[in-house]
Amino acid sequence: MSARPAYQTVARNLNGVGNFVLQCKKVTFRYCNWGGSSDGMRQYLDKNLQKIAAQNPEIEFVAVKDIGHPFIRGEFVNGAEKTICCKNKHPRFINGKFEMLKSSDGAPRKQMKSPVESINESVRGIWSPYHTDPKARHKI
Amino acid sequence: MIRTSRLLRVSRVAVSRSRLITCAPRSFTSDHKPKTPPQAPTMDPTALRYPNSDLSVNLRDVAKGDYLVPGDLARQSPALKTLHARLGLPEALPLSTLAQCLTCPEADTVGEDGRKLADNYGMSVFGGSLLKYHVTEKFVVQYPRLPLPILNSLLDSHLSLRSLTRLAESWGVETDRRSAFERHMSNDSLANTLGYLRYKPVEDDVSNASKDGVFDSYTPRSDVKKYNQKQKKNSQHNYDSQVYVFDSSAPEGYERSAARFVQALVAAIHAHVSRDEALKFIDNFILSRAVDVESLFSFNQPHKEIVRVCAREGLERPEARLMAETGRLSKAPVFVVGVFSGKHKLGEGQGASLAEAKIRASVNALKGYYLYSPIEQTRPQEEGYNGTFIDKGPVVI
Repeated sequence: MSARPAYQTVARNLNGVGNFVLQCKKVTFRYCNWGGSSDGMRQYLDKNLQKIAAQNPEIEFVAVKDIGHPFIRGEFVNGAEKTICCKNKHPRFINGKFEMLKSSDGAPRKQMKSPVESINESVRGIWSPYHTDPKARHKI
Repeated sequence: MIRTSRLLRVSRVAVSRSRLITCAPRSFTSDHKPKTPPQAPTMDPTALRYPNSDLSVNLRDVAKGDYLVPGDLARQSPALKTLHARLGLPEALPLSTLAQCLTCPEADTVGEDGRKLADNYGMSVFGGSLLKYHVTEKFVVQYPRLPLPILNSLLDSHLSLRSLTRLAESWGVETDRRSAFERHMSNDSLANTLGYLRYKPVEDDVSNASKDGVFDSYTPRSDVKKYNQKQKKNSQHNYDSQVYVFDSSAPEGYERSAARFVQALVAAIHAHVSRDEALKFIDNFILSRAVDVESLFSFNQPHKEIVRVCAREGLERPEARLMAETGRLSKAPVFVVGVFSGKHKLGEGQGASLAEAKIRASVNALKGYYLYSPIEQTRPQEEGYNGTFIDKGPVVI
């Protein structure tokens, strides 16, 4: 046989091409029934938990009553988790953090150096000095 | 999964707090079937076993379960419901079937009443065939000139156990590989494991996984590693005869089971919704992934091969011509060589020597030929199918 495979490879998952799978799979809210630092969390859960659970069927919601300061924890499909302390925080803050967890993919935060990063090669290709007109080439 | 008495779990339907708290752990029974006292299955063992075929070589001693998960029980599992929603599965696909897709035949799923759950074996065989057919058809239409070893390698990159396992991982499929005894010791009922991939781990790998400090005790990475090494060792001999089949030598571990889940899911959509929906699922989830086909090629004698190709296609004998060069006498020369058939340039390459540039140019020309892709691609099962391009086959060097 003439051509042979160079190596065995595995197709790369491109989330969002063809289908989108939400990367956040579970969100845990911890609150305390007694402590004052959980005041905002209690308000948030009272008002919003059922609503956001109905709006986000992809995410499993868990509310844990435990002593200590409140937190919100997101678990992601890549096995990572992110925990955010919500001590003395307003429900608005907690909602913002929930939205952040929901839209996160569980990867560590990193600074994007350019506004667009492509995984594909440039269609135009890179400029080559050997393909210009020979008369116009720089003579050494 | 956190399970404490002070836990309050809220999901889409089960939002009623009172109902959640008062919901006592229920035994694993269904209403539509008569209750029987706990007893081991007493049916004819030969009838219960899997057919003794190559596909099931290591499933010979596994008793077949026939007990379907009741729908109301499946609806109580948050993991099942969220998985269903996360994948955007059609409403017509019931949660109980999704739970069956997640149950592997080797898993210890004998419930409290002594009955074993129905597993995904049959579904995975059917789904695997459907996957193989559909994906093969796609690539044969897309790249009609692809040599068979490359085509098989391309299919493998989409359909191999490793590939499908990566896919299942990216869906966030969690696993539960406890035996019935371990489940009993942790005071957990079978119903609580419904949303998890249930399989039987390989004994050695359990201990190795804990030794290696694997981050998730339920995901034995060492299974995966072992299988990869095995693949690599054998791969040199398998190129020409490589056809995607169920590899019965793969460990009965995570890799095989997660892949089986994906295959079974395709079959489940086919059974409950429609064939079209199953094919759409394959298009969206399996074929949407990226493989650099160009990088799969490797050639032994590229220039000889392009000469043979041209001879067969009735083109002039190709010759390599130097198009540009710089620094011939320097430490870092660059030569640009084109492979020409008469006036037509077939390919071009550059290298640090004339020989290297010529080889690169021939490879470039061959890739241009083999990776031909028709502009209008219709697959046989699409409407308005008007035939597809069929190639003459590979050249003999």
